[in-house]
Amino acid sequence: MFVLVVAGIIVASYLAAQTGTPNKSISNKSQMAVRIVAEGTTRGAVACARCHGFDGASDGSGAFPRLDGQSPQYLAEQLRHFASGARQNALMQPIAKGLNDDEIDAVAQYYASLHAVPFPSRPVPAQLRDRGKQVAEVGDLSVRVQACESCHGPNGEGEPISGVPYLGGQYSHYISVQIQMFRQGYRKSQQMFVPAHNLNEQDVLAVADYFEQASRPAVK
Amino acid sequence: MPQKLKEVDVAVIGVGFAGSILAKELAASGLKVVGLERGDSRHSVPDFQAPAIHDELKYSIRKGMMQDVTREAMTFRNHHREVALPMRQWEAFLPGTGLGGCGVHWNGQAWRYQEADFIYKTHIEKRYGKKILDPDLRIQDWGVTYQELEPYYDRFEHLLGVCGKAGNLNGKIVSGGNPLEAPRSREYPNPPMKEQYSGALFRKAALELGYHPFLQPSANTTRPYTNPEGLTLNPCVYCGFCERYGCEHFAKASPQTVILPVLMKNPNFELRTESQVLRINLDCTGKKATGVSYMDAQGREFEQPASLVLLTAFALNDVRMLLLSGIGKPYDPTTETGVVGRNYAYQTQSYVPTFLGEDVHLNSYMAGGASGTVIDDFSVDNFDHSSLGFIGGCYVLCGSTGARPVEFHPTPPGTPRWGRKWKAAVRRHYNHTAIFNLSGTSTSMRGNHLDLDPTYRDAWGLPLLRITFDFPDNDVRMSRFVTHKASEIARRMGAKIVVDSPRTGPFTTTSYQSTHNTGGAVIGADPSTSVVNRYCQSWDVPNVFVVGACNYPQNSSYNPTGTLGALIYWTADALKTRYLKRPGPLV
Amino acid sequence: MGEGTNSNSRRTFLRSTLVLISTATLAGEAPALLGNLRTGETHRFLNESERRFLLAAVDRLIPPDERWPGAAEAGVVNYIELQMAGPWGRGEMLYRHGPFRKGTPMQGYQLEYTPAELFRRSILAINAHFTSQAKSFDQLPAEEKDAYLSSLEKGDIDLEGVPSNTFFDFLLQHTVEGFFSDPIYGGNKNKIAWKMIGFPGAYADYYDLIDKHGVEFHREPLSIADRPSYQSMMPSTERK
Repeated sequence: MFVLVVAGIIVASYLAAQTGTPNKSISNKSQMAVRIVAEGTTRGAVACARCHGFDGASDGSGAFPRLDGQSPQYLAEQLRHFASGARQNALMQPIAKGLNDDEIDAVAQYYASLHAVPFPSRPVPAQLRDRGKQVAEVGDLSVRVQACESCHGPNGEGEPISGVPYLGGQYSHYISVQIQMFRQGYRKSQQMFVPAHNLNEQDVLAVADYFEQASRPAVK
Repeated sequence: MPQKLKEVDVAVIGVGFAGSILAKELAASGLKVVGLERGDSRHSVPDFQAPAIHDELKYSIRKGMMQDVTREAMTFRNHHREVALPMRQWEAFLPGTGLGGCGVHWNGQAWRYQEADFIYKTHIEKRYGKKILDPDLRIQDWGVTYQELEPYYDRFEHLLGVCGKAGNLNGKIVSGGNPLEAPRSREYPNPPMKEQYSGALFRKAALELGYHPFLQPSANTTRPYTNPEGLTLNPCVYCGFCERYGCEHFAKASPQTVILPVLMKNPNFELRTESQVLRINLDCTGKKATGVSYMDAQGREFEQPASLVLLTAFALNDVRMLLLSGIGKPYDPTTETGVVGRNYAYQTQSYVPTFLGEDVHLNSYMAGGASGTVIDDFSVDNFDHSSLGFIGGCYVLCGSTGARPVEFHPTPPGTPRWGRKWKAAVRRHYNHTAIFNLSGTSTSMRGNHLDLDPTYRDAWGLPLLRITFDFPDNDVRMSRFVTHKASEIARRMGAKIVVDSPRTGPFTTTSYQSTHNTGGAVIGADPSTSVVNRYCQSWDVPNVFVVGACNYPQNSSYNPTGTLGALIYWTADALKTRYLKRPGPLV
Repeated sequence: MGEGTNSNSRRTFLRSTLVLISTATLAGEAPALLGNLRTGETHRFLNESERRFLLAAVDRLIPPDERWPGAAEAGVVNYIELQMAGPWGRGEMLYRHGPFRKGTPMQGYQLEYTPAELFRRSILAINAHFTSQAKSFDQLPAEEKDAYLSSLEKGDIDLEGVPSNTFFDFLLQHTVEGFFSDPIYGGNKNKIAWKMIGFPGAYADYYDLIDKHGVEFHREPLSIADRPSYQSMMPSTERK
């Protein structure tokens, strides 16, 4: 019950923020987003909130990424990649295929505009955290990997417009898995190809843990 | 008393592209090689990482990667009747220093020359007759042809992973590339860079005017690429901090990214940084090098005996080293005798600032170092000069390599240099202005030369290099013609304001133009007009090889590095297959 | 990012949000890099009369307008002070061996003064000139300030051995540097100059945007100092 109340508050405030604008089409789009997030579509898209929550924080396990405050360009692009198969994911493909272009844009904007309260992180040993920070901020010459933050921004805050996703505050487990996905070719990215191949297991965990704990600026 | 070290097979002076590649080839052949680099060691991590590397003041304005001018400057005068004075800070050109040399902070614009470039004198005189040449011009053939160098161009391009689209494959013109390029034996290793908005607008206008636009060949890779040495480069992200900066992404082809890790692993090679080579030592005959003398950071002098000396310290420094070492007869422009310092040339740059409407958002700060859409229709001798009264030409490029604001804040003519109107104009035009870059031939001239300054010295007490240079009138005429043609393209783009800005004399050291200093130790078939033979071997001291843009008898329209790469591998081949089997003059 | 995409839908998406405004903001002001230098009151090099002159002069070179601050508010004088107090000002980046001779304009700077000496000397001469007339540059009305600066620019005046156009060009160059360089050097306060022109700053990955021709890209500019661990780096007075 409490969860539903919270969800309702989140949705209501999202709508209030959207309908404050005079543009009727944005307002319609917001309402569409809310509906899809809560109910899915009749064409096979399961309700987003089932896994990602109404606030985008998902369930904290790291099995599903945080979506709140993510770059809307990135979110929309990933949905399109899921749909086309460019990004291979058996769970997300039918969902993404069940959304048309407008719906993709709408749900992307919805989650981009949210700011969830993150689940508390588990403590990370100092050595691992320092190593993660080192790779994130400076890189590693021995494996020819540049600083993650040179693309992902200070603290891994991302670059919303060009669609570079934030890593700061993202679940460590999710980050680790995605690097595996890049390494094994389930996700394809010109820029992630070499880092994904060259970082060893320990360093992947280190950067993932580091970023989960990196503070991220508040989303406007 | 200098400490004499254990003899090695090869001493390499300067560990940039030329030094790294030659060292790697010879070390891999089993020779003991010492690389002497006057600057520091530096690597992609941590030295080139962002955001610290994206520091315009440090690297662009204060020339953070450049030769330390406080210790080793150069002097300059336009004409021999002037007194040369030191360039007390670098502006017009920026000699690099440090491991990797200029290869660290170049833009990655990776060109080949034309076939005609290598037989320029023969070609021009045949096509137009000698009468087209102003009396003071001194163009020469190289003594090696494009066809001989083609496989070595190919090898260098694959080492770097150059990105482009072929326009001429073995003589067959193929679409999508530059139809005017010299024939290449195979496609580029990687596809071309993404086109900028300004380049796309230029492309459309150029096509409408009947020209043949294509994307500039780039040594900043467009996709993950593993080169023949087994080293992988990352794609360029168009950060707009290329020239004067190291690359944080392992995307720019530099010795650090394409060869040094392999070289450093070879136990036959030893790198010594902070080692300032003072001279190449000769025996009492003056015809054989015994090694080099150098000073370390603590001021201790060492003698490094070596059987073979490779001088690869950047064009200007190579010539100076020859003069300081007494290798080859210094050139005297009044008597036209001697060869070292002869045929010094440059790059004839001009611009066409093109102010577009405020609804055209160019985002020029999104740029790779070799971004740009180009036409080759006016380069070198790609067009008929019969009635024009000059030789040479420029490629015309539209694109940006960045829009870093201390350097780039264009305003239209008539705008005051400061004040309210200036500020408003900067704000108004910053994101809506493209600058065409025209890179032109630089024709050698009798009076343009390099020698040692009689007055000014470096921190080691050695005479500075003296540069005597001005643009030949031929090149000024050429620049006026081609820049005017370029302006027509700009107008066709729908520009509101087009500023036709050809290069005019006199050459000034006070504003940046290009670091394409060429000549002074030219390659040739005739020892009376060249310093090295066709294998880059000194005519005078056969166990000294000099490889750099100092070898170029005149400069073509194109950036020199691609051609230097060909010469490097050509020389490596000559060393391995000819010289080492039978040391001695190869010609 | 670089994966196979349906570029038509991407363009559709972008068209519907033609002006792309970044929704990310920063955690706050850039950290206090230089301790007491944050407010711009450094007193490391300039005396009061030099500071007064410079504040007034740079604010004519890049004046404030209705929308955007000028050089003074942007911290340009703070920048100049830090530069003059550091290696650049001390002449440690110039070839300073003699003999010093007057050269042609093509031969560039040939005076024996370090940048700091050049500033000091010139401003001393300028202030002395005004004092002798019982005036002060900063007290003049704007048009008279501009007229005086123009006369310096022309080179009509000798400033204790420094041709006034040499000093003027120096001052203008440093003003532009202080206005547009990264805020770690003490100018371009709050990245105001970058905001004015739309330059995004030191974090720069444009792989996915460079071929979206014509898109308006508005992002809060990022400085080198926006990296959280920047504070541990060396102070910028020693920065070349």
